[in-house]
Amino acid sequence: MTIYAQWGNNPGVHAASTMMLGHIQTNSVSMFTNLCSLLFNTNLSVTAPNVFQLFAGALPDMTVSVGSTQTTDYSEDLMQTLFHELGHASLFHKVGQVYWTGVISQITWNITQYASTSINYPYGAGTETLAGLIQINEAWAEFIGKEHHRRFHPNGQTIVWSMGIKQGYPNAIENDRWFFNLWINTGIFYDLLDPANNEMNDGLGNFSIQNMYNCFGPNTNGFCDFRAKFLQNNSSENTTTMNNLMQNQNQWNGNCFNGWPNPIKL
Amino acid sequence: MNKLLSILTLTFLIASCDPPRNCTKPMCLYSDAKTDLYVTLTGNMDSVINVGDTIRLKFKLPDTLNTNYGNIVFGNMLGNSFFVIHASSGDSVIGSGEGAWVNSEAIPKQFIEFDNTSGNFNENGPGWNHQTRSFECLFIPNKKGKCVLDFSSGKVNLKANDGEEWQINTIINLTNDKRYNQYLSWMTPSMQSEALSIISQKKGWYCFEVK
Repeated sequence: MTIYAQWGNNPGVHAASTMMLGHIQTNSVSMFTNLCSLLFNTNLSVTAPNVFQLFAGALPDMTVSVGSTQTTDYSEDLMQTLFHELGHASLFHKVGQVYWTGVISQITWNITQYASTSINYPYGAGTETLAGLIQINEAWAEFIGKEHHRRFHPNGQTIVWSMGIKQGYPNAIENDRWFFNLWINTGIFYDLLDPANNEMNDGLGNFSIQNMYNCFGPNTNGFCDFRAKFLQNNSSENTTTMNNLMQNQNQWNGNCFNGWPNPIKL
Repeated sequence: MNKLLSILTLTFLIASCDPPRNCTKPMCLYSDAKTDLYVTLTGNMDSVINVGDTIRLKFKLPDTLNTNYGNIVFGNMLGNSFFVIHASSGDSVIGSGEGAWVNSEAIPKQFIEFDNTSGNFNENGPGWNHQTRSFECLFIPNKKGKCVLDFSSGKVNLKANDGEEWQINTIINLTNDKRYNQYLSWMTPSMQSEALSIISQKKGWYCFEVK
């Protein structure tokens, strides 16, 4: 992977992205050009061709930025962020390039659309055409970020960002019901991973990360598709129990609707 | 040198495509600004109530939020502001967590005042009325059973009266008696210790029974 890393100019702020442009074979340079145009309001390939060629030869799969006061010591915050980004990267290999192009397109659109309304920047409001891709992508990445962070620090001896606040385990994952906004439900994966019946309407449990990962594919356009594939792959499991688990997370009903508009299929 | 600066600038701007994980602005994934809200449930607050009785959650965000960043005076509320409601019931408890119910069912909610400015209203995560900064919801159980209300974390995005924008985590503290012993009595003794360790960390937690 090609990773761009940077110490920022301001203290205490982390930002990261997993574009996977180095692994997208079609239109990756074009997407990079669009991103540059969006950021610089100019076509870099024309106005700064040498710089553009330099980057085009090593397109970023991931970018990581840390604050100016970040030391070289171990950072729990940064570790959670890095695991989150690696969650994106692993999902890319399951869903493929067309899917990922959709993710980048939607985020690019969101950045343009919501630049002056930072509330929905850059994930959107959950109502956009390809919001389901953002939903799956961010929910999975945040789950992977927190779960691997937890395993890195066994015995619950650490705290992480979860639902807006820093909290310890197991609350950080047992209570996890949203990431950024309610329509991104990372907690569904926790409820499938942890033992059954250890909390409200959590009747499924002890599924491996691999089991959940196997439910993703190029057609996983949202949690409804994930649920269908999960029940197909685990045919002995009860649909109602899965519905209850998802309803507990964010009011998903039996028709796979939770108040948010269904995303349009790719 | 100019090329190097360009590269650094480009890298920074691309990296900033994703929101910062930790700052106090609404655009951030996480903010460490937080405020405690103290709320009292009203209505029939007996430990055992009847089908059709009402428990009311009604509160108003104060004009000034006391946060770990100091007092922040409201200008106006911004979008993506909500908190999480879980209102569930069941015939019995089979796990140590927050109501691993047998025959679980959501307690019916009747929203009186809430954020209706968005088409994305979600009854598990409603927001405050943007104008009045108030919220009111009635919980009216329609079947017998053991019940738990849990109001967990949320956030309020706002523009302060000085024009500064904030993302502030809201922690709802219920001032009512939590009735831990009542809840623990619903499960086997072997589960009680673990159950207490879980529920005692929840500040917006309340239990009762409907007969």
